[in-house]
Amino acid sequence: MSDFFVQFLNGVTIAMTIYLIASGLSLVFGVLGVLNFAHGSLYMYGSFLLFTLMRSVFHSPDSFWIGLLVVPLLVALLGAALEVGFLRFIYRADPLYQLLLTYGLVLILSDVVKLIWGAENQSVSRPPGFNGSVAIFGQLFPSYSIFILLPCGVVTMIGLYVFLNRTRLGRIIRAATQDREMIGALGINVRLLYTGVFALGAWLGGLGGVIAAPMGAIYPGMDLDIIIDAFIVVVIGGLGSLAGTVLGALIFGLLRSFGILFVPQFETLFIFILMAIVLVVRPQGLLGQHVTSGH
Amino acid sequence: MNTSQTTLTVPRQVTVSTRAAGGDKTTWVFVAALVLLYWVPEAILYMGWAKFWITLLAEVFIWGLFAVAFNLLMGYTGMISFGQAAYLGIGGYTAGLLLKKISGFPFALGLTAAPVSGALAALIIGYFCIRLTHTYFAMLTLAFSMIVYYTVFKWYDFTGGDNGLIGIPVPHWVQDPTFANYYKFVLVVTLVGVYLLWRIVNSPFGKTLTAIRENPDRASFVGINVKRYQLYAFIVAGAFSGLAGALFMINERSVYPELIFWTRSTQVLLMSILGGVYTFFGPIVGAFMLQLMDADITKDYPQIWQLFLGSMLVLILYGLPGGIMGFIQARDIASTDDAATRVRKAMGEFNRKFWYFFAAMLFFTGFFRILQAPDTWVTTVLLTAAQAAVGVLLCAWMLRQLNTFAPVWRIVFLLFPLLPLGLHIALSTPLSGLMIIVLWAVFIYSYLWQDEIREAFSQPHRAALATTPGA
Repeated sequence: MSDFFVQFLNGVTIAMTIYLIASGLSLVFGVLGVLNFAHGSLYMYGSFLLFTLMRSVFHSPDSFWIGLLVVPLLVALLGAALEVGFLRFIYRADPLYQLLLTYGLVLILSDVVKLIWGAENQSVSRPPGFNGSVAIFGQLFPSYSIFILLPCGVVTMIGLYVFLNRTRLGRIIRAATQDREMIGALGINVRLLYTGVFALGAWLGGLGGVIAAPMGAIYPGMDLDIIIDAFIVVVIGGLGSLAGTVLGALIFGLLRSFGILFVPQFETLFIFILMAIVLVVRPQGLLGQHVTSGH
Repeated sequence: MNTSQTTLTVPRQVTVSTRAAGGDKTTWVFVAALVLLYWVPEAILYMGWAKFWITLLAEVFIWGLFAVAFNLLMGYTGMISFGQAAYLGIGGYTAGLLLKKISGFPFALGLTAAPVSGALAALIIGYFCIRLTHTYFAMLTLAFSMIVYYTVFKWYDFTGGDNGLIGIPVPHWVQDPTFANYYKFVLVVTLVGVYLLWRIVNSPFGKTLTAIRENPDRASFVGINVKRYQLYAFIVAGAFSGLAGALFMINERSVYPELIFWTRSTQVLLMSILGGVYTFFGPIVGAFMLQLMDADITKDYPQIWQLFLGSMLVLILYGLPGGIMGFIQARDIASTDDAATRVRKAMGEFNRKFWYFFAAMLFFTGFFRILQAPDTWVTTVLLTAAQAAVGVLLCAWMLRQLNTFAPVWRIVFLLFPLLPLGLHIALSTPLSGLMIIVLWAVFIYSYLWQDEIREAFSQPHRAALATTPGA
């Protein structure tokens, strides 16, 4: 039983990390109709900006908390700039051309990272007090994942839910996922809305980057590693559906952790097989609504 | 054509003019290409250039075949696959495994097995993929290619896993020290492959695919089984991708899982976009451009290659959605225009695009020279400025003469690119710059040898047209 629980908790930890990234991807797709390849790059910028903040600006592990507040905002600014500078001009084109445009941004952003931060692996320390581990059912868990990663994931989840369902702006955004033209006809500034949603998506990506940074290496190329995983999660859950993203992330995380237990080596393969099965049987994803034409 | 429902911002005339130019003439282009390119290794060895160019060119040919096969899906049928490398890998691994595991397995049979296995895999995978469209299609092809990738990557006993499959026996005649034989072998196989694809896209089958791309609903109304044709296109693309995979294998005498990784699928996508997806030869041009620029840049500046590539992609998507070949072939002529208007419009376009090519050539040669020799950037800037000054005067004067429609100027213009070409070979500028000049020549030929323009040049009284110089 305890083994099972340990793997379960592991899975949930993985799920939370990937959820933070995939939720932004899904949100942007839902509203803008763009599958944003560059979302992984925003995640990477979150990690690298945190690295700079902690190593070069404040020189102290305590500054993780400042980073947690500031860095996602910086990444959101970067996202807004990308939307205003590039994506805005191409909404009318085929969605796949938009996908290609964001892929061009991936290429550009990844080399800019190498030019600024170099090609080496970097790392940041965990915030003081969260370096150790806690024992749960006699198994040691890093206290960082239990006390920071999980709460952050849950808070973001609830926050997004409340924002989208209980606030006026959230309702507008949800309406935009249903019918963009109608929203414009009702007098909403759609351009601003798109920029805002893209910035929010970038904020989530940056937050994911900040939270993931102390748990592993920070390196150029982490953008490509994460984006495919995020694609899997949103496709399984349903492109554009936030509840689906939660479910997709949980399935992804649990398949990873239990897969390592039962079929080591092949767990990644199973995830892709699941993605293919979902796409074949239910293209809109487990919790997605109809496949919108043109996407 | 005007009622096309797809929203790609690409001039549709492109496809029309490609078709119009088809027929037997292109067969001779293939023969000419074979004869000309066949002796390139000898030329390179004779000139004492680096042998590395021989293998690089062979690699470009393979990429070209792969890109044309991919473009059968993207450009002709309108399905953007993000997992085309799967069939490349399956072809390469099939040929490699057969040759390595069964001793004495005939080389020719191993090579034939590659397209067959590629087609079979495409049949199975395509059966599921063609049910989806757009982003979902792209995601499913991606998923399947990753399934293939991880299967190969993890199945150590059979495929060698991430160590790859090394030391695959290939006949002695393809592994000569200068790679000249290998080059010729690749040249012949890729040219035959591309020629077959050319015949396919110009057959009724190919036209049906284009009809499906333009409007799947209408295609099905006239009785075309859309899904079945899409599956056929998928299989054909898979077969030729498999063949390209086997060729990649022969070069290294080994295969690695990287052959199947998704970034390779995006690379072939980039080539197609760069060269132009709505033209048959566009992807080959894209393959040349990408590989030559790669060779020019990554030699000294590997850290900015992706930055450069990404910027090119963004520029192409905004500025030239039809790619380079699309830019060359696009005409803004309406079907209602009379002959005089057509000529005037075409000449206006010619003038405008001529200057674009001139600017692109200056940029490319200047940029790549600075990259190659950053210390002498002052000289390069001065040289480029001088080139620009002389070029602007010369080209402006020449274009004015051209607009008088004196027949001799058409010939002068066709020979004109020889001047910058010779200059660049003499100054030993990077290959990417030469590439632009070659494209410039292609552009000049494709405009000035159109029927209407030829007629205008041959009839003196049309000189009245010349009253509209410039764009």
